[in-house]
Amino acid sequence: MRWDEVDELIRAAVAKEVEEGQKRLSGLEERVIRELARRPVRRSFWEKVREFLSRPTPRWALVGALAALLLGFALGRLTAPSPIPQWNPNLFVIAAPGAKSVAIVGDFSAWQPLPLSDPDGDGIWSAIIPLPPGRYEYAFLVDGKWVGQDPLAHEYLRTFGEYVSVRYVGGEHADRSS
Amino acid sequence: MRIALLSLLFLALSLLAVSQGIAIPLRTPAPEEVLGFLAGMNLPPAFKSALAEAFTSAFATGRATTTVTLLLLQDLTAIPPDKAERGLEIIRYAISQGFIVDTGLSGSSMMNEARKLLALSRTWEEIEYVLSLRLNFLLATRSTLARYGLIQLGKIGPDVPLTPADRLVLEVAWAVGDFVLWEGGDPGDPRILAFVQERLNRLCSVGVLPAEAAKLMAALTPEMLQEIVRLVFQPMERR
Repeated sequence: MRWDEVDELIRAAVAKEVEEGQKRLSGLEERVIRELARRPVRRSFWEKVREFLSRPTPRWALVGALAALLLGFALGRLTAPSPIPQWNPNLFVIAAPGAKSVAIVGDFSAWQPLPLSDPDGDGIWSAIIPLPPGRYEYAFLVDGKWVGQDPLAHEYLRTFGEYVSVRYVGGEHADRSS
Repeated sequence: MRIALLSLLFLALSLLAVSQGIAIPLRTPAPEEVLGFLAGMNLPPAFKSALAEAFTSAFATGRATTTVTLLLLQDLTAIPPDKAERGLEIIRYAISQGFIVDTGLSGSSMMNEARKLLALSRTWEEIEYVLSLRLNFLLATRSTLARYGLIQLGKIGPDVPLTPADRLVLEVAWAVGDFVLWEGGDPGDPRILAFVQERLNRLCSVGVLPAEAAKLMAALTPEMLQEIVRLVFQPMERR
């Protein structure tokens, strides 16, 4: 065989190989990308948290604001009546030195005890109770004992032998009780 | 951002109110909560049904509040069911007659008084007796004021919308009742007029009673009030 014939055979073989290789290379990039996309990147829990925190979105900001709003509303709802009428702050005060606990009961609490406080420990117990205009019967409970005569009351009633104080809130009585 | 700021403001105000030691009154339960509690009480089903109907009307028209009603029902679970039923029947009957039985967290009325007497550790028999007298005071006051032309009697019932006359009847009945029950006054005591007029005057001054009360106060006489007391303590046909 002549050398030129050998060269021809080699070129033909190389051309065939190249042709077949090109077929296999066709669409290789897409296949690689598909394969990469199919395999999930496994991240640790902390990586996920860090990613979440480093990617604030308006949606989460709104959710947070709404949660704060609901919490504030719920706190107000649990502690205040609704609807809220026109309230006047009323100071209820009693001298009870040495008392361990002082509370007030009255129409405004449906006769459930509301605690008074004595933060400076001077024996003067007080509470500010916002009330709408009206007539209120009440009494203090000093260490559980009924004390029905409040010097700041507008009048008194005797019910089954026990005094009950009465305070009028609003109008001309507003200055005396608040 | 604005929403977040407003939310924080509300939260701060709520926390401030609590931290300042301000004793804030009670929450207002929904009517369904009260009726649900009533449904679970140990009372005859037919009575519970009638009471639920009365309370539903009373809540809707302002003759009772859910706050005081629920607390009173909770109190009544601690006493024998037959006693609770008798007391609640007085209240149910009062509602059926269109009377205000609960003025909420101010003023006096049947349910508020029951709560007060419970706070005073009175027995349920005593409370039931006071409630029945209070009902009689309401009935006697309404009929007497109407007879003297001081109020107009329209349709009576638990679903009838409240009028200023309903509150007038309540306050006059309560004042006369306080004079007789707690002040030791007897029906012939001439101080009864001054006592009732002073009470009504003060209620007018704080806006609890409307301007019509002034006309009523001027027209009241000791005889009218004594007639109310006389009616209360004579056998009355009410059921």
